[in-house]
Amino acid sequence: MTPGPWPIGEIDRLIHEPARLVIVTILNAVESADFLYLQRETGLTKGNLSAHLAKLQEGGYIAIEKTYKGRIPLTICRLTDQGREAFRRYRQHWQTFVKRTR
Amino acid sequence: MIWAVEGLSPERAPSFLGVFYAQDEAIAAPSSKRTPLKKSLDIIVFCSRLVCMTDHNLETMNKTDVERIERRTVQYWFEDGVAEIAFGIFVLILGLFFLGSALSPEKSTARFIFDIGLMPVILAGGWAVNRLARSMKRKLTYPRTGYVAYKRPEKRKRIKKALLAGGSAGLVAALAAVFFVSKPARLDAMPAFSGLAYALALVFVSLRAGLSRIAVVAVLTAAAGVGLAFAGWAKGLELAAFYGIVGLLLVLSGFIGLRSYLRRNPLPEEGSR
Repeated sequence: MTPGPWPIGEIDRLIHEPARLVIVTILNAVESADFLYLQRETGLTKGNLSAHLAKLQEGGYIAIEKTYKGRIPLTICRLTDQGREAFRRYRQHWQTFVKRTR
Repeated sequence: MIWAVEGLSPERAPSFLGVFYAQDEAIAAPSSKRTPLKKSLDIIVFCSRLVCMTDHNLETMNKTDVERIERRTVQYWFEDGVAEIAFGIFVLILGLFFLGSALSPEKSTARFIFDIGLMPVILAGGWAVNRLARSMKRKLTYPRTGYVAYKRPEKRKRIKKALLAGGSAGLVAALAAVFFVSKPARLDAMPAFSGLAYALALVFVSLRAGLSRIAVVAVLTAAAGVGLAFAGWAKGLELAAFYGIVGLLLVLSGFIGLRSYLRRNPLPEEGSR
């Protein structure tokens, strides 16, 4: 895309998707969170959440660690440095976009 | 509608997502049923919505929703009442400590031990409260509503917090020393002083956590402190009673919160994680 007056082309589409945006925003506020917490906070179904987490993991934005607490399987997700930087950039781009729409 | 497609419930999703919702609604009608005039109107509506809602929603996203999501993680720590129970137990122990000090004869070995033991008890208590809260959360909270590890504050923020806490503690200690050394009778004012200080701290926590039950504890704490200052009890006993009352209030409030939390969040079925 050729650069225009609107920085919309610079928007990170991986984060831009609504459900993933919520996931990334939550993970940005914490060190790490497990699958159950993310499911509760986002209101997503298990299948949807898994799919979105997999996409974010493929993009290198989150790291997923599968572990056990006693007998209970635990899926811990954390935002990687790359993910935090991408989220920071995303917010910056949106702010620029908002300013230009005034 | 995007929520239905994504399985995202609209009432739970942050408001900034409305921008996507608006876009989605504007293009949802099948194109075959739309006349050119309707199509043009749709485009105008879509563009105006995009600009207006983008302005509103993205401002909201940056200033409110991100903060709201961050605040939710803070609220999550207090939601189950476990932190109040753990801190209440610690305050109760402090109350017992003050009681022991008040009941032991002046210049006795027991009084000396109580006096020098206060600081280690406070330091160890801070560590124990954290351990107890985490241990209870591991058993009760995380299996029900999920596990969260909180971010460590940045070094600059940690230093700022430590300086603020140290400065406040130093100020309180200096004021207390002035009261005790110059006019021992002023010891009676300590419960009122502590009551107001604790109440302020609890109001702050209540606002951060968005929990009204902690605000109620704050009001009762201030009332207990002021009331005990005028009770005219033996020196030191009112302070012990004050800590006892605050500890009990916190434990009670914590149990009410925990009971409500456990009712709202039954254990998920095996294998659902």
